[in-house]
Amino acid sequence: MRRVCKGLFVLAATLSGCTHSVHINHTSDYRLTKPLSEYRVVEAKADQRVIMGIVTQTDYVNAAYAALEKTCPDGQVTGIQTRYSTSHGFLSWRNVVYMKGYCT
Amino acid sequence: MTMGRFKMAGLALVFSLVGCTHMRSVSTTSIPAQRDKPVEAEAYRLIFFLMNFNNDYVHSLPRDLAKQCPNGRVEGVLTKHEDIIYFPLIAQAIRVTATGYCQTGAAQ
Amino acid sequence: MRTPLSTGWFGPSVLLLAMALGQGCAILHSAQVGDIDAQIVMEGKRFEIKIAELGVDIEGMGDLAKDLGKSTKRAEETNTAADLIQMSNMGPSTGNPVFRVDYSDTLIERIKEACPSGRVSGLISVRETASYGLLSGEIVKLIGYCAEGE
Repeated sequence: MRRVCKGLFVLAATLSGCTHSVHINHTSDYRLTKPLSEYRVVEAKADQRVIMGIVTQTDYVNAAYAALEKTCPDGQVTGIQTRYSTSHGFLSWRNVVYMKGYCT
Repeated sequence: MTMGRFKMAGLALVFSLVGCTHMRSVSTTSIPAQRDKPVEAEAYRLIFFLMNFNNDYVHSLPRDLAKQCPNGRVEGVLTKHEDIIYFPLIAQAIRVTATGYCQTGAAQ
Repeated sequence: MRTPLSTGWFGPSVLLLAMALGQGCAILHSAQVGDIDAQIVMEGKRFEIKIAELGVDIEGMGDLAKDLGKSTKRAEETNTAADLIQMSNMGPSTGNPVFRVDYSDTLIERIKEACPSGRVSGLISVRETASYGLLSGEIVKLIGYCAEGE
């Protein structure tokens, strides 16, 4: 019985964090002032670890947005793709916001 | 008698849910200063027994909005996605509504 | 005295009906419409980008494993394994869970392929599921209009 329990816990640990879920993938408008080939792709990501569903803020979203702004300090960021997803784990999960866009 | 009351209560509950509407998602783009020309488009699908095989009905929304704002830009687009329950499990509907403001001429 | 109505036929019939109803059902999770440039939408070229990933109903599979293992000697172990796997993949889900989180990250590159000029408008971002029982296609779709030329 102990071997079985041990085996099951090992199985749970190895399978932990195997699955994810993409909730939203949004693309913003494209406001180009130059040809698209003159833009460079910038990206930023922020996440939040949640244990047993206890969470009191969503500041990671603002952190991702601020990080994206920093990648293009004096320019315009357009055509922004925003992916909001969750990576599942053992009694916990990680919420992720990933942003990617064009910077000039 | 107890069974009869239970049935009546169940029936009342079912009928009270007729037309129950829930929000599934909502989004908006930047709202313009000029808001004198609102435009609206709706995509609607009635579903029986939860059977729905594609979501192509939403594809017409941009063209429906563009037709109402020829040679202009529609900005401040609010998109609402709702589920409507007419009769649980038997008849439901999905409604996606997009509203915005038409910007023409110097405002673009 | 009334003979109770036999319900032996009920279970299998309901299961078959549920399977039939679940075949290839399309579920819309969200639809978002962006700003619209009427000229691009009415005169431009429509493009559609669809990226899908296999989704697995972990909870449903766990319940199925428990039901199948009920009358066997390893019922307790099966139940424990199913519960542990469900606990190891906990968290909010839209549709069924997938095994890759970055499957839709190439969307921005695919837009550039579909519209090299980058002059796009009337974008609709759609997140939907094509359900096939315990498996599903978790789909990220983008429809837009492209004005060609720089």
